[in-house]
Amino acid sequence: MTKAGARRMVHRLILADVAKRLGNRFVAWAATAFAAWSLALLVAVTLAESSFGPSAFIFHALVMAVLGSLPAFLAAPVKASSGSQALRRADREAAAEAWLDYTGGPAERLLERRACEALSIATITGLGRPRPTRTARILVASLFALGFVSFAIAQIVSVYSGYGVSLTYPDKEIPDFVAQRDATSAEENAVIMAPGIDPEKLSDEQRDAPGARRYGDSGSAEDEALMEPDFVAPGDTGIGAAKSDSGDDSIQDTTAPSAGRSAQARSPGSGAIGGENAENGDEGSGDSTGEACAPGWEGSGLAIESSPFVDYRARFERQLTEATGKETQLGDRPSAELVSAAITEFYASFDARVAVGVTMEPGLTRAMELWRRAFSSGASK
Amino acid sequence: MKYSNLQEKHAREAQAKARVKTARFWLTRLKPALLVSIAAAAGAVLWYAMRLSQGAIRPLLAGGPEWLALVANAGIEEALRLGLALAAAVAIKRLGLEPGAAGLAVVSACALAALENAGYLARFPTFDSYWRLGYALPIHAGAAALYAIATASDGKKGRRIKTIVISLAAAWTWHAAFNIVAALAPFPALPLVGTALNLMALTALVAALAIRYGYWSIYAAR
Repeated sequence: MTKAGARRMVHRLILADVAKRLGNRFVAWAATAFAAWSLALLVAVTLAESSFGPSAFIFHALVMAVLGSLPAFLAAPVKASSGSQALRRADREAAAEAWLDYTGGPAERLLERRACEALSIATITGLGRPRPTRTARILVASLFALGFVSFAIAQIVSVYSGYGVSLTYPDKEIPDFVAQRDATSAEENAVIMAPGIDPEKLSDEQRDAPGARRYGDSGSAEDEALMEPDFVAPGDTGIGAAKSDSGDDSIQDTTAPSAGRSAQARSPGSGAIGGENAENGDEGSGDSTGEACAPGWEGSGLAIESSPFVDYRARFERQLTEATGKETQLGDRPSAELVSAAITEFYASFDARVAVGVTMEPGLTRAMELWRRAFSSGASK
Repeated sequence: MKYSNLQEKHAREAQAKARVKTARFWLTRLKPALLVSIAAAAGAVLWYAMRLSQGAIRPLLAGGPEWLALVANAGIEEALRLGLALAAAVAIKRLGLEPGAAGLAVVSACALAALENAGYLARFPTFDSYWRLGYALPIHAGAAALYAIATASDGKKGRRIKTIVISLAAAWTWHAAFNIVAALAPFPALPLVGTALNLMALTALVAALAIRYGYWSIYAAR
């Protein structure tokens, strides 16, 4: 082996040692990043529903900072003696080191030959590996263990909380629904319809369904009278009492249609339950016992009082009408799926994110347009 | 200080010595963490200084072409980063720290990049921001590693100055080129290509940094 060959071999040895050192540091970074990511996941999932939970921005900024610390790990200061240590690991007899330190003289040839032999053997047997200290090894192993435990707990909590498996910031799905509410559309659609219902195709009966009356509209006197809950205590003087006591057909004739209508066209606070009872002819039996059958009321006779168990649908419609000033119409017999879809759509605005117009620099706007064209995806989403 | 007797005097002096020793011990143990914290804080200050400087020259470049503003911004960043590297080199020499401490410049660059990434994330809250870890971050870290190598004490002053100037020019060109391509001529494969190129350059520079400060004695010998 020549002198140049020995030098090449020394350089190769150094490069191998540097690569191994950087590899160790990469493992340390991986352990740290994994532990930090798992802990961030755990905190985010655990505190997702509370006001103390980190925001998505904080979560992602933290994860990016931890992932981005790789160069810092790799370029952490090295000791000036790292090269000598690498040589000593590869050459226990110090032949190579003696040759390198020799400033020149009669032993030059001899030292060079011995160094070449030692380096050749080191190349075959292996150059040795820079071993991290015991403390460093324990620390890295602990970080990996912490990461695994945190990750496992985070996933369990995430699944139990309804987020499924969370690999990033836990966020419940937002329905793919765009709420557009402006003056023009408000005028065009005076009635908010449930998905899949055409307002033109509704029958008169459906138009009179609960919630059909415009909120705040006084309506006719007959409607106001019909807003009374349809219950009558035994012995009371009322329309129902007159019905049951006197048995006068003329009164029955005049009250029956309106009673039938009352079930359908009460206040917006009434629901479909009363309507169904009326159609099924249950009204008479309710009246005869004095049992309250209107939603929002319970008990019988003088013990009738407002019930906390009001019809959910009626409350929903009323609140929506109050908030939007529009009529709601789910039909007189909406299916569970229809109501569910309507609720999802109506309340989707709760999750809506409003993009407020921001004045952007022209350069930035141009760059965003270019990115949008280049990547064919919403770069500014 | 007055002592009631000689015994007490000796006891107090022994205790004071032990306290100094303990303080030195803990200072030595905490020195790496302290240095890393200082480097990270310096990165945050550098980020703020960059923002201030770029904001100050923005009106001057308002009428100019877009690429000029990008080149000027990259120049400001690199000049300030080099300034920090030179200050670090002087501090390392004055404080008698291990020369390898120059590698802490990369810690500063990472802190700066983390703040910059957070700024982008706040403005463009999409997962695309993660591409910055491969595209933008290695530019900062690589430049810091390059300056740490260039500012290493070398004896010959003229050669050192020449190395620093060449390093600045190289880092500025590389940084400005990537900024211009990303802002004015993006193409679908840019994030991947940019990440690959930058990671290769960063790996080479980090390896060179380790060799320069940890293995240089062997190279210097032969």
